Amino acid sequence: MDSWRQTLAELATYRLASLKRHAFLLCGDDAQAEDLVQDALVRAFGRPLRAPRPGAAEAYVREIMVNLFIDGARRQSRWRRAVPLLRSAEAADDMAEQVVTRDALLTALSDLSPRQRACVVLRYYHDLPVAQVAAALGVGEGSVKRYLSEAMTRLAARLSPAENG
Amino acid sequence: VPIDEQELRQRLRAVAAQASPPRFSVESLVSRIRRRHARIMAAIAGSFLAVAAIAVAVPIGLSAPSPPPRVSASAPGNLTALAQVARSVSCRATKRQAVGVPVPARFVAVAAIQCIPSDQVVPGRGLWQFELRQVADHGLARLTAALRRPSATPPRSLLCAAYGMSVPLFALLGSDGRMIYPHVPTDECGHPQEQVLAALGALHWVTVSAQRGRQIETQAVIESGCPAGWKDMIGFLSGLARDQSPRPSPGGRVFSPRPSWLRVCVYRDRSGPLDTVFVGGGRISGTAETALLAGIAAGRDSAACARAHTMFAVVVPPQIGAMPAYVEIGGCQRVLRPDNRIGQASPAALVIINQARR
Repeated sequence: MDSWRQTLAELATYRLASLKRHAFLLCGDDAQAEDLVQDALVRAFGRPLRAPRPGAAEAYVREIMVNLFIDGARRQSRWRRAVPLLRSAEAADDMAEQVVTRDALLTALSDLSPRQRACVVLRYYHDLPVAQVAAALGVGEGSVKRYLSEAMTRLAARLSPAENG
Repeated sequence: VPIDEQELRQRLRAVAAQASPPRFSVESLVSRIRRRHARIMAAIAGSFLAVAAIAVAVPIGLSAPSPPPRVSASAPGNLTALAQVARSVSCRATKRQAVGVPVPARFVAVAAIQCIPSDQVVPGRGLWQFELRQVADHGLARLTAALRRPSATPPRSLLCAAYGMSVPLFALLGSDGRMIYPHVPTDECGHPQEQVLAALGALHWVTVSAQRGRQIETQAVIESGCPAGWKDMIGFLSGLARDQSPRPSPGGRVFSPRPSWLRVCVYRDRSGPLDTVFVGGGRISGTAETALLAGIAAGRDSAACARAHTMFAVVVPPQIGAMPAYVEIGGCQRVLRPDNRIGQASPAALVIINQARR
């Protein structure tokens, strides 16, 4: 078996679900997340002379996913609706509440710019330090801090009523 | 109020955990990667002219268009209060008020409330229909003005396109606390007026509650990747007149080219071949796939079968738009091939199908 196939098989066996979760937070949509993971894997392993090293493959694929997401979001002309969350007493049913709660965070995230969203996911989901977030996005640390600050302000505005409502 | 970073981490993890498991296989990616390898190697081996052309073309091709204009979000301050009002609106009432009333002259709308169905995956519990109650509190003057327009009177002779158009039923909350279910003015053809549709489309709807309805797909259906109610085409076609039923096949390869993997979906007939229920399914590849393909490749002398069946399997290749093969479980174990001819499945094929459904 080719070495890249071996690396891909190992990544798929152990880390595919993790990559999907990462993509889901970026896209906010399960089907889009599925496409994003596949596109990133094809991009990562599609370079015949530069296949990712086994130990660094996941981080490399994740970085490609972020860049594909930002590029894709930039090209998309879809109208991103900004929908804050207001929890409902009526939604006491566990499933309904789950849907509303998920809707809250995903719609709050969808109100962020792609770079802000990528920063939030890398910083607060993957717990990467600012320097690594900056390296992954190819921007300066100052820019990352600014993106994060703006994102947190927006998220606070969107998510705070949930506690009050 | 600043957002707590630790809480944000927890929320992100909780939402990320709700992503469904990946539904694609590595095998399906390998062919894409190989094609990409081939393209890149061909490009590397190209002439200097080609390289020069790419060097010019790529920067142009990759130059990103300007970012889309952002839609400014409405301040959520007064939405909390409106959400309480919205919850008092009966979604059934909005449906009953389909005819609606004209918007009164002095009526000033402060919120619009609508109930819309939305299909949502609940992790581990399948796909469910939810009724989302949504509220909008901006852009209502434009909507109210559009709703006050008179409906057009259809002329005596007018050809209209016979398309259907539905407007979500909604209620308007007035500044005086009144709630009305407005009449939507129509054009000459009886369709909702464009001004109303534009005003509705410009509203920012905020989801304030979700109410669970019926289940659309079970978790088993989602995990298998099989549709919920595939029709029993072997049973259906067998019931047709002799000159309309499929002809026997001499046998041979069922799918060409050979798929990289197969999805096998098993169903049981309920009241008839067009009313079926999902039993189980899954994906097969490698030696099991090879054996299944060999086991459904045989031909038959006759398409007819005197024994009835109550279960069947659909064997689906991964290519988009590819026709599936149907395999009778019980009966004569016939195969309805993608070329609409009848072949024969072997007992070994039935064993593999039985394993795949679990």
